Amino acid sequence: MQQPIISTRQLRKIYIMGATQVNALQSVDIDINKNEYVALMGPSGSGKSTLMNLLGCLDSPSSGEYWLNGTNVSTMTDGDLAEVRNKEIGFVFQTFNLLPRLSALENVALPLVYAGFSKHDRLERAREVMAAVGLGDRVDHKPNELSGGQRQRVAIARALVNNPSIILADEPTGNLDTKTSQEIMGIFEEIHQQGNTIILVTHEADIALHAHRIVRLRDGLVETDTRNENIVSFLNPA
Amino acid sequence: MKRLFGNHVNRAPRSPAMRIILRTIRESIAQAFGQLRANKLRSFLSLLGISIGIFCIIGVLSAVDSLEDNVRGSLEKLGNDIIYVKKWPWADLSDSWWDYLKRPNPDHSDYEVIKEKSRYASLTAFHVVIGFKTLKYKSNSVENAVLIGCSDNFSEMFKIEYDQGRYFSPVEYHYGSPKAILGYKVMEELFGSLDPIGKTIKLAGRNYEVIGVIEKAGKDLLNPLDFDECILVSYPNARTLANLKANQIFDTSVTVKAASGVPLDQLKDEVKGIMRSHHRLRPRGTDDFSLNELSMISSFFDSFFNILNLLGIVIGAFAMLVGGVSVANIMFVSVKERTNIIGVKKALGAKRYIILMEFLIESIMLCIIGGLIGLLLVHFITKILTAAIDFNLYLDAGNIILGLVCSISIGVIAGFIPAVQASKLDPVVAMRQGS
Repeated sequence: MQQPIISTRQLRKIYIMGATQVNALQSVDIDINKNEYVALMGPSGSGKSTLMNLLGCLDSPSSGEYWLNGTNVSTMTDGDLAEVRNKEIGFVFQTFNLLPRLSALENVALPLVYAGFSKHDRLERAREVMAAVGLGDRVDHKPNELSGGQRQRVAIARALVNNPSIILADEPTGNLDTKTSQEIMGIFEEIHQQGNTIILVTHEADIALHAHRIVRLRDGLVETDTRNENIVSFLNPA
Repeated sequence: MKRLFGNHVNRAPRSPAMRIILRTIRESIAQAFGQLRANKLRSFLSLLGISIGIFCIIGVLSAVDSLEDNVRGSLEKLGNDIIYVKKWPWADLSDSWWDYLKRPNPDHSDYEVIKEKSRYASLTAFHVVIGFKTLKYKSNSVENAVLIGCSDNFSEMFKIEYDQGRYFSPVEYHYGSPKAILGYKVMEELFGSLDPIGKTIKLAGRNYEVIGVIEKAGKDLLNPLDFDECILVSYPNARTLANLKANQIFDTSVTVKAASGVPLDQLKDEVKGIMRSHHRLRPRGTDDFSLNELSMISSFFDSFFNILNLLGIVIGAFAMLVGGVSVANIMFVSVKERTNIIGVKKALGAKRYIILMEFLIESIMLCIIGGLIGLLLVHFITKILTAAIDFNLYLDAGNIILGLVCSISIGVIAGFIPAVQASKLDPVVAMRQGS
């Protein structure tokens, strides 16, 4: 039996807002194996963002355990979590979150800065990944000189640059039109085919259909966890 | 594309921490300049406080340093190793003014006794300032020339340099020949462009031959040995000009120079003993003379300069405080504006200390720029003043370093709280902001 890359046990997150407690996540047990393509779905307030923040090591759980790649990260300090995020997780955000002052290439190379690679190695690696997402000719452009789709590609390149264990994509197509969304989803499929583990957070059913497994959350609990029987793919059209 | 995804490139980072820090420093410096460019007026106003603070502190310190140097250099001419035996003390006139007034002036016999008996003195001289006299050469005249009667080694004692001519020869001195040495201004007024040496001038109705002209005094603020408006005659001759026994009215000094290697205190003790026995003072009686030395004047100036320095520091410190507050303010704004970016950086793996450093360096850079503006201001003003008032004001390396250290300190203090605030931001919350 393969060891899961992600494993949570009774993961719970409570936000305290003044006098009231909000149980954003009640108790979530979830296992994700290497090279799985999982969609996290749920209406707003279901706790999917909270779960994504926890899985992304952006936040610590109130209780429960979270094992990432065989290490318990639920009790880690801030600094250690930053290192885990840097080495193990690639983020793709709905709003791209590129640094406006840096060029596309520098944006992609940024995680390598925090990993401590030399400038030469950083830029070389960033160039490779940029080429791989089809932006080899846009390296020197600033984010505001790129289209939405191109920006998201830069963000995907940035997520990939450190060879992370998991790619966490939070509504990656939320700010994009249909055609561009399809392009981006195509890239995710390719990434998945190369052996990467992808967790896609979305509330759009058609986007979730690209994933091979769909986890639905409701009221801070896993409602359903099913295999996707009719995968939509742009790579191998049926 | 296929080749890359999932292919793990295992290049081990070399000395990563150092690299991250260097990169952060470089980025923060660029960030600081970007901030300046983007908000010129706001940044300028914020930096103004720092600039003014540095300007006040370094300006005053530089001015005082320059003044102090100048004054000390002048005082030095009085000699570090010379004791001035005089009626009046140079410092501490306190309450016994009347007692001082009743003292006799040190006279020629005191000089002779010290010269004969002192073992620690290398040189002893005597001079008496007789007063203002009118000099005449043909139809030219100079009023209020200061007449000084000097002992034979007076010139040697004060290392007097001659523009022309020489000091009294031993024979001239011994016989009290009617020869005179003129100060530069006196010579100029009396002779203009004529050669004064060998000419005869009239002093108190008598004829004197000019044998020397003393070099022009420097342009220092204080010039204790300014002979420009003086006329020197030998002591034996001076005695025939005025009744020097009525010594209350003249200012006389016996000057004693310590032999090399002899501490001034030791010489002082010796001279004190010689003077007391010569004046036949009772063991418990107080001295009827003062032993003055350069350090008495310097210590007065020390306290004066200290007050000036303190003044500059206090004014500057207030300006710096205001400057520091405005830099802190600009940094708070900067953190607010870049909250989203901070969140992204943290999400991508930037640790707290990196964010902390980023903002701290930015704040330090802003303050250094402010400080440099202040230093430049000081530099230009010293240049202008030096040119305008003919007095060498300067900004030295020590003060530049002090100014920069002050700027950096203010930068650290002003930037600390905003930087800590930025470093503690929760990445989730921060990223949600204004993206």
